[in-house]
Amino acid sequence: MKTILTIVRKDLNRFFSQLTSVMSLVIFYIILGLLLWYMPDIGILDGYYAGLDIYFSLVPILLIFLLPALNMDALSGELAAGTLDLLLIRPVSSFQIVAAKFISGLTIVFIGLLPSVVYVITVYFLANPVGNIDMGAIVGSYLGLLLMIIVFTSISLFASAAVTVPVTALMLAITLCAFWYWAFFLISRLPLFYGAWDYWIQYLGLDFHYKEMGQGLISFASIVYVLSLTYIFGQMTWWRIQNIRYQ
Amino acid sequence: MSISVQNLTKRYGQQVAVDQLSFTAHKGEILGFLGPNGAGKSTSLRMIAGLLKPDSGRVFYGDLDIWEQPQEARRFMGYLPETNPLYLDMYVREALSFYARIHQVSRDTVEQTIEKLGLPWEAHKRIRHLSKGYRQRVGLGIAILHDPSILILDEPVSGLDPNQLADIRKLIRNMATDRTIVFSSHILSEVEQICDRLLIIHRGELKALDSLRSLQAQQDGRQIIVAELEPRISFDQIMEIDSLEHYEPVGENKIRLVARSGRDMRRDLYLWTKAHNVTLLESRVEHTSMASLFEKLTQ
Repeated sequence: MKTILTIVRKDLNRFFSQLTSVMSLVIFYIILGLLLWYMPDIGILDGYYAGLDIYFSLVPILLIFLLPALNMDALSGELAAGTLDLLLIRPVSSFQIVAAKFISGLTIVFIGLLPSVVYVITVYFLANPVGNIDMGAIVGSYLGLLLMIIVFTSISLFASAAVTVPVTALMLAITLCAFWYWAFFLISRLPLFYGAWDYWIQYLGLDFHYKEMGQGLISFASIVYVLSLTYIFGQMTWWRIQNIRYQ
Repeated sequence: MSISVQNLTKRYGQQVAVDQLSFTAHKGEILGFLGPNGAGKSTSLRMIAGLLKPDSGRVFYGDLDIWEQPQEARRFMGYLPETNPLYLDMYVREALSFYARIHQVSRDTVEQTIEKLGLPWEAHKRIRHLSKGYRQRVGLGIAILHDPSILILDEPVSGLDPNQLADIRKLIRNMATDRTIVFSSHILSEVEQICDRLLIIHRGELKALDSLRSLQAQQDGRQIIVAELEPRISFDQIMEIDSLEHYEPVGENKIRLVARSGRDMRRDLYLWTKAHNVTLLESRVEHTSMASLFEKLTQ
């Protein structure tokens, strides 16, 4: 665990000491803030009731781009620079490397999402009477968001390990995240499946489980689904590191 | 702890990068790895460092097979790759501290390493802002931080200025007293000065493995003496020397004498000068230079 924490600490220091990395979080909040507070008709201020529905429907779309951007360098950068070689010849296992990169990725996003609590507080005080908001739905949506971040981080790490060019890792991760979020819903709309298999095909998509949690329905199946996806991509990242180690 | 390499082979498709390489390097020894570009030096060193799996063959650090007990073996090995990969955005002390924590080495050791490598003035700088020579020192620092018994240095002196070269040479020599060092460089004079034995590799094959003196003796074959004589004589007279095969004048009074195969000409030359009342101002046995030795073995 000490080795994992050492790598996590190094990654966090490197991330927060680089202006470009921090700027990606700032840009995320600028885009999100503009959409939430200034977008006519659907913005929070134009709503009929105090809620964060718009926030929770926009954030997954932004995360499809943000998480791959935050993690694109995690392994591909180290692979390209050769610094991964220096880790591989030390008493550090492939599991420790993957776990450390995963924890670093999650920590960065969680730190990045902390300021969004301000939105909850703002809406809480905007409500009439004060505090008249559906806290259950908000907590459920945050939990859904958390699980989605876990999956997207795992996918982004795999993409970052699969290629040595960070921009290619970014494109691959965006494609994979978008696929797991939207593809199954779109496939279920095909006439071949519509009205027959559409529910079960939608069930395979991340958006289905996220929406379910947003309604306060946190099922065991959804948690198993999310953790399984995370494990599959984590395992593929581990295989890739093993492959590099024993090339 | 010694390094034992047994029949190491690596192929890339049809091309054999390293072919049945075997050698042993002992504790206290600096083994120089020499070869032209593309000879298989870095591939061999990567396999010896455990970064590249050979198609066949084994590498032992002492009794530890590095592919059977990798975690244990890695604790004893320090490696400086040819490309010297570093986190350029990290500070020197920060980078060294990171690897120290990975090896569970104390903070004091980090400071000692900084001192040992002459980095105190650079420790607070980002690696990105260091010159190539200082980056090389940081790479070396990372390799030796955990006091490894085995040190594999791939081109450690490239990019260093003459003063830095002398410092690093001294450091490597000092470290060799209780370690096994495998050292590769394309600077022949460096290898000549630092290494106890040389391993010359060409197209993946081991061409020679011995001390420089032994290799020179093997390659010399015939003894060559360059002599300066006084007064000036007709060089033809010198053919009286029985062990002399032929000569070539190299200056007004200077002559290069080539002995018959397997013959030592020194005594004969001395006796001949004495008999002819010729003064021998200078005489030296000419060895095959490092460069021509390298050229001969890798052509």
